[in-house]
Amino acid sequence: MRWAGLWYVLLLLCAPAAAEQSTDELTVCAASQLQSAGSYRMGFEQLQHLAALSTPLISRGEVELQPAGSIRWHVIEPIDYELFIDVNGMVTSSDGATFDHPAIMRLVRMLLTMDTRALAATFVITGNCNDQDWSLHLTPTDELLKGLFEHINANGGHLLSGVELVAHSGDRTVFRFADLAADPSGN
Amino acid sequence: MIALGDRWLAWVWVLMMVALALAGWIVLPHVTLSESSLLKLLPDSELDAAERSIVERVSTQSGQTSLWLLETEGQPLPDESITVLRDRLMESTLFATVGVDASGFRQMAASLFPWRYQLMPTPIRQLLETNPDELIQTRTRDLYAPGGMARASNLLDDPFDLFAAWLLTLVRNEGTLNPQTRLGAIVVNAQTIILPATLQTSGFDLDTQFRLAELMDSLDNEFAAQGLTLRVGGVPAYAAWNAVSARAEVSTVGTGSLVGVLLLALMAFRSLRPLAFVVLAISAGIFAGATISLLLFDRIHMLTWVFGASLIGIGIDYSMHLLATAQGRPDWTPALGLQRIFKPTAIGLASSVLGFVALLFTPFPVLREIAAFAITGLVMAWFTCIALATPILRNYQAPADTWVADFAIRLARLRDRCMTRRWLVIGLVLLLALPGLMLLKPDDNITALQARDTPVALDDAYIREHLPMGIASQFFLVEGHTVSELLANEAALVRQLDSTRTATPIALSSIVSLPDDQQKGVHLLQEKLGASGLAAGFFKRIGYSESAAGAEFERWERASTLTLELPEFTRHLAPPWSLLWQGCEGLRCRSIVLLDKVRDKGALETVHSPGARLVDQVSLLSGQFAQFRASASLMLAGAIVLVIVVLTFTYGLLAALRITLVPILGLAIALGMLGLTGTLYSVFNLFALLLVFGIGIDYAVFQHVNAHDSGAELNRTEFAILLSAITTLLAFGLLAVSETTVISAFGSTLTMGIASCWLLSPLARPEGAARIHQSGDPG
Repeated sequence: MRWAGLWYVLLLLCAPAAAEQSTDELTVCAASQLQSAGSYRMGFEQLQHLAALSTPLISRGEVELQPAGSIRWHVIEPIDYELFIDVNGMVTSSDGATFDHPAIMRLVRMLLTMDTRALAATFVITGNCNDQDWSLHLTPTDELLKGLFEHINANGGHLLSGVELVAHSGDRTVFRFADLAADPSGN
Repeated sequence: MIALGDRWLAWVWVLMMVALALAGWIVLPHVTLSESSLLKLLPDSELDAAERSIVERVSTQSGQTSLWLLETEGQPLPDESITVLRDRLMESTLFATVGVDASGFRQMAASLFPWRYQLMPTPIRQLLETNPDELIQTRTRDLYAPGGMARASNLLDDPFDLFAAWLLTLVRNEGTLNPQTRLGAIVVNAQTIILPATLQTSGFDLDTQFRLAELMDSLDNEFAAQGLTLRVGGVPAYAAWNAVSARAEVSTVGTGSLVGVLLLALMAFRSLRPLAFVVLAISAGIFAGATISLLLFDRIHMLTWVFGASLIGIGIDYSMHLLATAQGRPDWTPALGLQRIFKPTAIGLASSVLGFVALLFTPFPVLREIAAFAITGLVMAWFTCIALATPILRNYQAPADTWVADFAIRLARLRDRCMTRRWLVIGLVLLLALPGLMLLKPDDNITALQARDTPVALDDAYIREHLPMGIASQFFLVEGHTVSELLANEAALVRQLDSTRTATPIALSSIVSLPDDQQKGVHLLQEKLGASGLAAGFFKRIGYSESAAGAEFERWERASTLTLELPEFTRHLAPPWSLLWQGCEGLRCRSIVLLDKVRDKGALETVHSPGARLVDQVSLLSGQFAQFRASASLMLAGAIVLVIVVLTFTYGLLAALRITLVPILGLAIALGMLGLTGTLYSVFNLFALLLVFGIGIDYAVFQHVNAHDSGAELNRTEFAILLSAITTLLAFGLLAVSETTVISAFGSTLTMGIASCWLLSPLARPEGAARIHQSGDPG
């Protein structure tokens, strides 16, 4: 009985170490769940908490991962416009305007498609992942992203649920995603 | 009166050497001992001082940047590997910076942020003028786009993100100047990164080259053991590889030839004294050549060293001829030997010197250096032989017979049998050389001087293929009488380059506006956004506070009274933009337009824009090499004529023609062989041909002068000539096997030329002159 108690303590001590997953394991685990969706359409809400503004900037709309790998980002509120992010992170707008921040778009694309190779090359990743859901804490190693963000949190299951981008200044952007497939009307 | 062999001559020699040593000691701290810049090859007329400085600044930047590509197969490249590579490079202390250095860019951005209104890009100004609402819409879209927070970091101080719009004009090159990075390395893909590292010193510094080569080797082994592939590219890698390769070759070939020459001299003279005499004559020649060149030019170019050192081939002849006169003569004294060789060696020296005098009058600094080095070196080597023969070789007794001498006689006899029908030989030589001469095609492109299949060339090509950016060595130099005209000329050039997509220009006119336009931009902000209420509406929509809005309007007011002048603007720029502005001198303002991602090099030469001209270092230097070759060819032709004139005065026209025929045919064979074998033919072959001519004249003069001697004397001449030819071939002929194209071309030309001159030297003898002594005994 005394030995059993000792084993119990040892197991408890070892538990956090056993739960620690490597970057590869985490991204592969998360990607395998997301990839099961293949292509998807989600509703999103983006809240930008900026020090310069007393209230957050809020936008809502739809995001669609298309079978060819490109992403359609449709902002419906407060203004209506669409962005298309191709597999290389290049962005075109429905009205012909351009969005000049390829690093951010590459990041958005990496997260939405759970591009494991790109994520591993750009971040130090910690977190956990199991059969049901996953959550990742990403610390940028890429110089450009390192200059923009302190860290990024992402979580989800078979679809991406939420992303939080935290800047060094304390500004934050929170994305919340909802599965539109559950509600075919999209409402 | 001073007679040959007089000890006074030795004292004169000592005084001269002391004077040279003193002069050298005085000037040494103020001179460049080994100038390696290829730009120094250009004559002053080709580039003015300012242009030369511009070209040097641009080439220095590229000449110090090495690129380290690390790659793995399959699995993503681990962070640790990048960190290890970066740490190893830093620990080597060879590099000033390792990795993408964003600090300069950040500093530039910080210092120019207060000027954001004046820096408003032209398209924004035009949009303000024509459709200000669109500007508001664009800004709104940016803010609500995914991750719009990144465009809102300066929302309080720059609500319309004007400064970011200016920053984007810097990276208009499809993002190539702003690549994705990881731990300071440029990311090619998950498996491959490229780490740029800038040397602390020039990539052409010899010590740096050898240390860099060692580092490349050790890191290559270290990463290979981990299953990773390391490739190194850039100018420093080329320079390091070439230095190591050249050192290995010179060491192998040099050791081999030195051992060969020493053994041969020992076997031929069976004493160390003659060897010391030969070495002293050559060393004195090189020392004098180098000192006089430094006194006259303040520097010695690498090319001068290479060519100057090869003058040993001629310098060794004088002492060899003197020593040969002692063979098998128990009554020999240095004075007797000098009496015999003085006139022919003096004529040979005069002929060689004449060949180089013409070089002194060319506009090319390096050719003038080479001429000064060669003339002084040869004269001193000859004078050393004359002045030191008595003190060094007094009581020297040459062996009565050696197998070397016997071999020389037998070989010469064999050769003489083939030379009996003079005209037939001449005809055959010309027949053999003619097809090759017709096939001979000069190649002056400096890139052809570097073998393309060397490991470093292949690695460099691989890295360039994967590198997302690449500022070309070519650039446009733009001029205008005023800053305004200069920027207008630049803008016209940029438009042309953009429309033809020949290359992506990096130009001042793309990143800064004239003061009038700056003022116009600020007034448009006040009028089209401020007075119209568009700005106020936007501020209200996004929740901007009233105080923040008021502050922004105040900043517009202040900006309307300030303009950013070009010198002030360029003071803040980071590389590569800091290279662009070249300043104004009187009514001459200059800038350069760098080229990123050149898509069509040929088309660049067809770009004609007012006040702009293409500066292509490769073309400039290649053109220069072509001019060197043309000058050296002309000089060789002139030297031949001059030598004929000098020899005509001494020996008569027929003899002069006979003597000069030997080196001329030697040159024809060497050139013919180059043509037949398709060997590189450039100015370096011409340098070898100049040596061949000088050495060939020596052989021919001796054959002519000694033709009527007794068989024994003639045998001594043959012995001296063969010994001289073998030593020269051992010293430089072996360079033909070099992997370095230039050295190999030099060696093969010299080998063919000298061997031919030796073979054909009997043609210089008058009709009916003595043949080789039949006994084969030099005594």
